[in-house]
Amino acid sequence: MFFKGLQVSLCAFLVGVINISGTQGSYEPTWESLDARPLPSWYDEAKIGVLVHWGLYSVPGVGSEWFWWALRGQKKPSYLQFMRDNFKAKDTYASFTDDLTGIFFNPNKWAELFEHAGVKYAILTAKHQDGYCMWPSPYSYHWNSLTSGPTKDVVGEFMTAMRKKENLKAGVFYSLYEWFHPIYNIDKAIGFRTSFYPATKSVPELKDLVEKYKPDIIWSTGDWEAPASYWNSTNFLAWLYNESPVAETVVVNDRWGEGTACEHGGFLNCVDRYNPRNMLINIGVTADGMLNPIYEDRLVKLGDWMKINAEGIHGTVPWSFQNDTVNADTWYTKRKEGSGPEDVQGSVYAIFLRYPVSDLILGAPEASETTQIFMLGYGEVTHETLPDGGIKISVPPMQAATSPPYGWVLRMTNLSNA
Amino acid sequence: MGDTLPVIRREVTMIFFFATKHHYFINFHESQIVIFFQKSHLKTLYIVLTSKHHEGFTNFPSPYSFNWNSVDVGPNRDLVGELSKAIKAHRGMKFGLYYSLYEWFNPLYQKDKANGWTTRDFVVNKMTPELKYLVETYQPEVIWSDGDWEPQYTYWDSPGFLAWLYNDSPVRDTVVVNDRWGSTMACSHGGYYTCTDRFNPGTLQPHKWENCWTIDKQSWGYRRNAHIWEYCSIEELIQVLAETVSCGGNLLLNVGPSHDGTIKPIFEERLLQMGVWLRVNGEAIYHSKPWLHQNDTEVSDVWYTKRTFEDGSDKVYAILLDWPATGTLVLGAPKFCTNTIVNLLGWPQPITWTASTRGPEIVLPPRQQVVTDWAWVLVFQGLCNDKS
Repeated sequence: MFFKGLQVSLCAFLVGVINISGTQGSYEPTWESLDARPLPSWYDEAKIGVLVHWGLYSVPGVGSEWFWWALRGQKKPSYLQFMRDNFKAKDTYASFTDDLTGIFFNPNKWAELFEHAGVKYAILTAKHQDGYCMWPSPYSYHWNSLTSGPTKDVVGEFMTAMRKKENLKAGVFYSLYEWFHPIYNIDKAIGFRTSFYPATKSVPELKDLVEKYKPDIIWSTGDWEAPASYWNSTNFLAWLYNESPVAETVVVNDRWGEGTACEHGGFLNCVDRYNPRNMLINIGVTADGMLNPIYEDRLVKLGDWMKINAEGIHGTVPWSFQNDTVNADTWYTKRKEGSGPEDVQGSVYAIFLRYPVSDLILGAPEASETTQIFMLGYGEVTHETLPDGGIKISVPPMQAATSPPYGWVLRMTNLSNA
Repeated sequence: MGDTLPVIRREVTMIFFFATKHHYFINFHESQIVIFFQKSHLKTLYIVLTSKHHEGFTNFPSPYSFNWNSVDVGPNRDLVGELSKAIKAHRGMKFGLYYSLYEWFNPLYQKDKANGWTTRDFVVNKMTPELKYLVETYQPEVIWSDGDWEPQYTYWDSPGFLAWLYNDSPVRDTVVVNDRWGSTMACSHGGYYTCTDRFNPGTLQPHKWENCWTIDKQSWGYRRNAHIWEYCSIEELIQVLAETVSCGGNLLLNVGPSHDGTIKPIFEERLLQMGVWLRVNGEAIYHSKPWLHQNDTEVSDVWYTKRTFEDGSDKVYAILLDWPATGTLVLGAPKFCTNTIVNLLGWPQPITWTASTRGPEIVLPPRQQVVTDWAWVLVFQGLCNDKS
């Protein structure tokens, strides 16, 4: 699976404060018990996160982050040729550490950019499938970013920088398996009837990450070859929810063993680029630790848009309609009761992606006597109920709307079908 | 980072200058050149590559720069030759070369300098034969000279070289040169004037000139540590284009490839955006001349160009950098006649205008229905002052 721009979702979760398996701190290592843990509310309110891919694959910078698999696992001729053409004969993937310099790595700048973009959580690849750890893992001696490459505790610096921002949560991406780890391959060779690798590597390493950096999110992956019982996932999660320093706030995804995706865990990713309910935007970092300007551009523009329109995104829930019945390019959200100022609570937001020629006709909203419609970044606009249902909204000339022209948001109060 | 510069390994200094009035994208894969050419839909353009910058490293196998050239070291490729071939395979594309006369640390140059320019060993043994070799081997149609400013033109023997170029060289009939041929030459002698880097006077110039502008606001060469806010936005680039062309200049837009020969996506995007804009609005740019007014007397961010067509008819173009808040526009410069016709490029019908107390009021169509972004072009036919 490739993770180049994926969207994360919550397919299903339990809302509320009642923990049906008992009180905080007594989860059992079973999916029934673990799945019943309420998702910490910050996660659904956040809506937008950013996933940062940085590792040795940034050095060749071609193909994808699965470079080593294509080279050594699949022995693709184009990759073998690329190595012959551009590196010394004795060079291997492991020698890329020399060029993972990270000389421009400045996570404080990233945090500022993410904050501007309206992003509420940021996740860094602590370890990808190549096994190279971006923190000084004691279980990965000399195959980590402190003893080679940038010679920095990248995860540590990243987490510290993100946490300086009040509204940014920080998490780690962690691949359970490693393509070429010798111990993993011993377990794999006998059909995962032994669990040497989880016992000596992945579980203690995950605990090391949790204890050192207290992540708000653990974004697990690389689970799919073996069952959750091999990974000891339910025991790890029970420890995480009961005893770990982040027991009350941590959020995890659903990649904890073959068959768990879309079924078990915290929030559900299902498949890569699955689309609804939170969006996790992936960006890649160069070997020298920069975000290429094109990524910065997209985040700056997202932030410019969010500055006007965030009210229709953060802290919202799905409405009874997702997109409009007449105008399919218009998408809906709804502000939760208890979220935001009193006069906007219960409002329905319509995000329209194409500016209409004169009036915007929407089929889903039913206006009441007291309905008012505001265009974010503009002000009140007039509307009338159509005889066949739906409403007609008079939008101002496009140049009068201050939102960047990627989409516009209407706040509709007191709809009779809100 | 602070201000310390990192050690940059495998660095090859290459700068591509891109031209608009004519713009274009390039890298060293010809297939990509074709794709971008097709996408940009532009008729004529010129591309200028740095054949040698001030460090003296030549991007071609100069016999006068043994083992300090791109074939012997670095990419092991004749970058000038490959690019020249790729460009010349396309009709309408012109190939040009940037060449720095001086070299910071060349011992012959330093000796001549120490002698107060009374000796000319560097020019005789290095610069003149190399520049002639470059012209004869690659036949560039633009020679963009630079690094001329320390000694007088007499040291460089610029008139001697230019006389050879114009009389005897293989490109004598088509070649164009700039104005950097010795101290005090810029802005007064040579072919077209470049004056200073990023020259953008905002007023009509008596001599043909060129604004050599950078997409990266800080550097001509590639910077790995550049941020997005250090690059020009497409709005800024189109503004510079409008200001330049209205005043009779060409825009030569600089792009810096990275050491591995790629042009980073942010540069690609700016060039593609230019292409998108020019596909609709290129009529106001290519083959245009300055008009009577450069920018409007009432609305100063409206810039004018003019074209005369084969049948003798004239069109005046007004480039609007902002869409007016009211959706209507009263301009000071155009004098309307009763039969004046107004069009908007990319809009199918004529634009209505009505007499008002402030002058003729142009009523623009709804902004959301107009295909162009970033800037818009009104076309006037039959103005009372179009012949001026």
